Amino acid sequence: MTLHPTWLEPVERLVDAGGMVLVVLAGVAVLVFSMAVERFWFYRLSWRPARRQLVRYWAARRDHQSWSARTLRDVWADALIARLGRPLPWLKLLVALCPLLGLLGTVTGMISVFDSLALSDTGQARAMADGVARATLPTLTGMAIAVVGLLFISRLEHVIRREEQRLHDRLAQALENRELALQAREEKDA
Amino acid sequence: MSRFRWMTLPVVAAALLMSLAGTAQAQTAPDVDSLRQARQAAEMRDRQRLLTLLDDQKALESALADAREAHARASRQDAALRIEEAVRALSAARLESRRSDQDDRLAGLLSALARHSSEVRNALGDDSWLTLGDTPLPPRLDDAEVLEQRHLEDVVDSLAALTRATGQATAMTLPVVEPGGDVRKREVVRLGDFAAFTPDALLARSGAGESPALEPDTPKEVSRWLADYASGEDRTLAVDPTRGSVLEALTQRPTLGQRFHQGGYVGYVVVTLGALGLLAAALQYAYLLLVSARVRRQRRAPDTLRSNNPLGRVLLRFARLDKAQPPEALEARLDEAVLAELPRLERGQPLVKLLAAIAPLLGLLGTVTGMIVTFQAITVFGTGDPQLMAGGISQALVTTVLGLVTAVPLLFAQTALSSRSRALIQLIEGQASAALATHLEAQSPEGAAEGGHDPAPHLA
Repeated sequence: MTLHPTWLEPVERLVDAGGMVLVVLAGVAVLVFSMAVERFWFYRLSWRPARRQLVRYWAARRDHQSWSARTLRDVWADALIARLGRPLPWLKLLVALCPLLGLLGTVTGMISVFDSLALSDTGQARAMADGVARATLPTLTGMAIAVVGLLFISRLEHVIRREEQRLHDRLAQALENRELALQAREEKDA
Repeated sequence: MSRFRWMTLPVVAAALLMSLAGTAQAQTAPDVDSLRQARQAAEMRDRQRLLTLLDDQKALESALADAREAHARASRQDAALRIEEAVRALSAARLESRRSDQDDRLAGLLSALARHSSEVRNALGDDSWLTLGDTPLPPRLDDAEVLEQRHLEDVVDSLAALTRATGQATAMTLPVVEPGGDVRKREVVRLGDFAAFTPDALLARSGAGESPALEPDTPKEVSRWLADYASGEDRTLAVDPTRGSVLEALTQRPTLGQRFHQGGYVGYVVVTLGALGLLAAALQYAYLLLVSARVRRQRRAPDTLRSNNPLGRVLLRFARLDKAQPPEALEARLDEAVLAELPRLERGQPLVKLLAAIAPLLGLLGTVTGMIVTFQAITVFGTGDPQLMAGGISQALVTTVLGLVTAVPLLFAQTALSSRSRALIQLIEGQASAALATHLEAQSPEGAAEGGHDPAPHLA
């Protein structure tokens, strides 16, 4: 028997009470949170420079009005936005998985309840309590993780929508600024 | 006086009989005359005797006095004997009452001792590990008619030996019944009355006088502990404190495979569908990986268009187009080319999605049918056996578990497929639009140098 460090003891007790499903759910929760943190840092570190670069590149073009220019602008903007939302399907999958796993834990817990009922002659409350904890804890955990994950998803979707608008806004603004600068130079030249 | 007369009469009668017999023997050839003569002779003789007796009056008197004296002596003696008898009877009654008094107590004591000794034996002997070795059980006291000192000493000695044995770990070699029924000598470690085990399996308790049997389903972890313990490497040990019922429960607990088979036909169908879906998803994902590798190579070499990837095919089709058309018409043709590529990239996704949705439903179906079977069993057999019901319900729930377990990887596969194919499609559409725009700009006089460069980092 391996000795666990003392700080792992509550985790061990939780696993004892909730069964293997709880461990899987904990893994899902870790994935969800790490994805959320990763998106946050991506938004902070990579997204803004990439957006600025695209705006600069767009403003540096000579042709902005033709069909092809507009098509190119849409393609580039879409590709950039797609980068922001790339882990969204996986986040959605994980969130959808949580209640499913909770249900799985509930059903396995119920099986253990009925097993203990079938094995012990009388319906001993103590024999059932273990299984009932195993049946209820995963559902609770699954719901909690799913709710938090839904918050992340809605936030991310909101950010994507906002950033899409902002990108197009910035692209248009860059043109206007350029026009204004050109006009100012012409006036100055004149 | 009367006694005297009774004593004399038989003497007379005997004399008469004797004389009769003597005459009868003498007259071997009887005839009437000789008989009569004989009778007359006898009468004569008797009369003669009586006369002599009458003459001897004095002798008679003295004989009577002797007899009276003897009688008085005898009656005195009789009275003394009666008194003695009464005294004896009194003391006998006293002794009897004392004896019965003590007898009750002694019999009670003996029976209580016998009962306790047999109780101790029963409590220890039926399925105790202590009887495995050479530790003697306390002897039975039922057979003992009279309790003696050594009986009690035996009981106390064997009890003391048993008590000592409860605190000892003993290794011994004993015949052990194996699961197949063979009896073989094995190394056995006995830990007091708690457990007995061979180095790789626990032993099941058995009745008195029988060899212990190997537990058929010793948990793997436990048997590892036992081996370590027996070899002295570890001090961790599994003990069944319920005297065998936990081990029995462990034996009855179905393994993972048995659980799977409990699901029945619905379970098989669910798992088969899940396996099919996963297979399809794996094949399609491998295809998508191949395609994205080819697309990446195509993007690195934009000048040589290959027809082995969707991007190359779309661009080839665009290159063969009549470029004199207006841009809208060109875009419509390009969209057609992209649309033609979609089915191959999105192949398999609807199937996987459908299976992921169906698996939990089928599992639920199995649960409901299992419940119906359970309740039918209850209708037939009544609710007298809750174990029957519980077993049926836990069987019914297995299909739900199978459905959920099948749905989870299918959902993963579906997400992986859709995200990869969507990324690919987006890339192809973007590249096609970029190619069109580049072409148009190349035709227009001002933007010849721009457009081909893609500022967005590559996808997929």
